[in-house]
Amino acid sequence: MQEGLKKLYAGDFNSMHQQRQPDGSIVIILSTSGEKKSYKFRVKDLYGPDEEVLEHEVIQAKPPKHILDRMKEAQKHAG
Amino acid sequence: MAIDHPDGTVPIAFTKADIKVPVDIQAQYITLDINIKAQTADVTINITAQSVGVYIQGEWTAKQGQQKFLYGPSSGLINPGYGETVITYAIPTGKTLFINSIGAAVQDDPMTHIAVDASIEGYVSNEDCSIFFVFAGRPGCFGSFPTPIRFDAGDTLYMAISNLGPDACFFGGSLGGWEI
Repeated sequence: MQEGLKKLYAGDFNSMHQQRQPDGSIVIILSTSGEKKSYKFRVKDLYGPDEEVLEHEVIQAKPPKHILDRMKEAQKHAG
Repeated sequence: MAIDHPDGTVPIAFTKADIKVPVDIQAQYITLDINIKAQTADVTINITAQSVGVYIQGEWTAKQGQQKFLYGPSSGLINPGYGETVITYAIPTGKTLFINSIGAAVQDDPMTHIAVDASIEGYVSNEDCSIFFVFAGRPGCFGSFPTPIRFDAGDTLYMAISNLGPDACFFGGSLGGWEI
């Protein structure tokens, strides 16, 4: 079982976004507060007997490097 | 009272028809997990501390990281008289989901940007019953309620929205609450 689907079945997330696709599959994005990654996966026959994960992706949810650099720079000046 | 464990914890379990327990604990930090099962329960609490925080369930679960937010947009433009299930969620084994906020919104056609004349109704349900919430018109609305709707482990939650207006539109639904 893929990590995203495990989290769905365990309820191990704080927010869930679902979008039904024209082919009947559903794209699900799960995220948890404080966790720096989200799980995006496309599943067909969700909760059904023929359930199958068609795509699975782990998204790193941290700010881009250039924003982190600016934050560091701002902290230097603030200190 | 004897302390059973080296770390100072004292497990207590009483089973009796009538129980009275005077408790006097003095410590730098106190965590009390209390599980009372009775036909009636009277709890008298006298707390003396430098600061005391008492939270309602929703606030407490936020601190515990047990909040749940569910969101589902429509798969596309939905014609008048048609609807779609936008959220499906099976409550995991050992968990209970409490929903205390619900919202739905209408979105104009992003291709034309013409304001649609839409009214939608949304409802949440499990296999046993449906609970209706009617939402009026564009752009939608959001409401929260103090008594949550409960979904037990094994239930499947559905949120469906129907387009009752004269124009086709996109819509989305959202639910908020906590799961413990």
